[in-house]
Amino acid sequence: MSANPSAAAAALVVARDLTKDYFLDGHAIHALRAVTLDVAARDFVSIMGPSGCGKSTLLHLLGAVDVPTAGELRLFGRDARGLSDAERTGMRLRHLGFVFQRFFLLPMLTAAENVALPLLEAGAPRPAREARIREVLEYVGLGHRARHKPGQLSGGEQQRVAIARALVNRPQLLLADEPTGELDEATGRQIADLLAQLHADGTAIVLVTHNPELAARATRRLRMRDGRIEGDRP
Amino acid sequence: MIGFLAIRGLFRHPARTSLGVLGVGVAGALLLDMQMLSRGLQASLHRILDSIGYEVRVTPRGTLPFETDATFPDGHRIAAGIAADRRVDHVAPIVGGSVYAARPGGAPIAAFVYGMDPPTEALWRVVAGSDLVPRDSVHAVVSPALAGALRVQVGDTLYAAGEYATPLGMLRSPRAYAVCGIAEFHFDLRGQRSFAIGTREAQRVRGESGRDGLSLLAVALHDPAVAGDVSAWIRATFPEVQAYSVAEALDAVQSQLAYFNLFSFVLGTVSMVVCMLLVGTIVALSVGERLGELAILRAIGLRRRRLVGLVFLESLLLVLLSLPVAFGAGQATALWLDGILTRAPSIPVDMSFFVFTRRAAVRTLLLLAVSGAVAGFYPALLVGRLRIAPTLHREVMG
Repeated sequence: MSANPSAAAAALVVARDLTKDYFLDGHAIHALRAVTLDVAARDFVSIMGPSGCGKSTLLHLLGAVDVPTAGELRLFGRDARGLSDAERTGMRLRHLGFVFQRFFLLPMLTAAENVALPLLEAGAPRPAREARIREVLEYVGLGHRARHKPGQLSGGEQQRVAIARALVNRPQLLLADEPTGELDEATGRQIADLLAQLHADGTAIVLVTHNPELAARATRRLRMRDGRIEGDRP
Repeated sequence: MIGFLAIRGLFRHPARTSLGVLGVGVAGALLLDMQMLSRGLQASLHRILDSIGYEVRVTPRGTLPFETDATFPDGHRIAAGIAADRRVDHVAPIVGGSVYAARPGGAPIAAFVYGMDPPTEALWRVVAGSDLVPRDSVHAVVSPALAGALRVQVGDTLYAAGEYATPLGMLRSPRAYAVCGIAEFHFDLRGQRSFAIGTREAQRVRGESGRDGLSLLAVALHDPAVAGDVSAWIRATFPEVQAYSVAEALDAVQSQLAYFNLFSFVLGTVSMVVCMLLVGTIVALSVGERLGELAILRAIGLRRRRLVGLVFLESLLLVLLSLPVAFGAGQATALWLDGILTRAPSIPVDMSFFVFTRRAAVRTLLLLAVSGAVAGFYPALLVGRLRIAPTLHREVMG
């Protein structure tokens, strides 16, 4: 269990005694057990731990794609447990960015079209949309690959497109689940550099990883075991 | 946005989409054919009646035009009474029925006589020679089938009589006419042996002169819009006859063709169900393959109803893409089937079973759209119930 009280005032995420249980064949699986955590506006938090310790579950709760079984969870100042599905969707669109291990780009769309999806959903007008897509693809170093489809891009480039998609609506918090898990060491390092740059430019990041080198880039490093946070150190 | 995603999504697997489109197109073709068949004969009759140009038809009570050999008496008195109405432009008295015909020195054969006065081309179309003239009592136009059977041509003499003395092998009290033309008769059955002469002459041949029996009065109006009013007025004024506007005649015919409706309803329903199953299967398979992607789209902030709409749109797009196939194959099949069916005996030569009408096209479009929408229901339900976190977990683990 760990919290960062100094950042509580500007916290994007406030989690208190967060619990998540799943039921499989009538048996309860305790994925999270009384997790307490704050994430402030300029935090870069890494979460490490063995497989099945609850890292991804915690990330899903912080990302408003799941709801806790018990405990208090405030996201961007609002009680996440009281939010409707539509409100959680709106929160994900406007305040959160997701990056996944497997990139999850739509293969029939170009890089620019993949990046455009959150902007289209947010109703951004075309000129602003096109300018923002150019800007964010340039930011991740793929301005010249805008018209390429995922199948024409390397793994590292695909992950950059996924990061661009996550950033395009200027989220306050970026959630990354094993973002270098499918990349070779050199490419993983480039993604790590990009995330560090993002943090330096003002985006809060919560990162789940098995990669100690990537975790070392974070300003706060958490360790999880059996659904609990065991350590929180800068 | 969902239109863009739906189109891109469908063409992600071009071969599968193309096969699906072909399958839906074939089911749609059958649906179109059934829509064309359900009212085809009626539409075909409508087209013929419109081309003839008379808005009201008067027949013996309880019959449709030329349904039987029945006639009504005092025909010209009734015709004059109708013609006196200011809404009526003119009235054509018509006699039709079975008679015997022969060439000089030849054996008599059964034939059908049309008597029409004034002799316009309302019931036939002259294809060789010339037509009858007003109050014609000396000429006849004959159908190709009768001309062939009697081996007569323009300029030859034709004998006609209402009775045939079998022991003598001769016509009883025959009347002679000069063949002035060869004509195709709109309501003839295939191969029917027919000829046309003036009304009074036809009454003489049929033995109807004494009672002035007529089979039909064709009534032309100044304003076609009042056809229903005029037919009602005729029924009320002359209770011994039945009067039909074109619409009323078509309704009467339609009620006699209920089995065509039933047939087309059953096959049309089957084709709709096939279409629904095909579209539903393709889209459900596609959704099943893309659950991870759909979960990602939800995770990055796309609304649930947006994705449900996407799935419905994909179903509708499959149907939309199949329309050229459905309409092309449907028309081709209809032409082929119509060719087979209209060669059957007892079918008037100008009639068609399958008629492409705006109604048939619109109904086909609507039914296909409904099929697509219903087919999208189950895949949409899958997307609507999609839980993001477990789906993402499964995708990563998988």
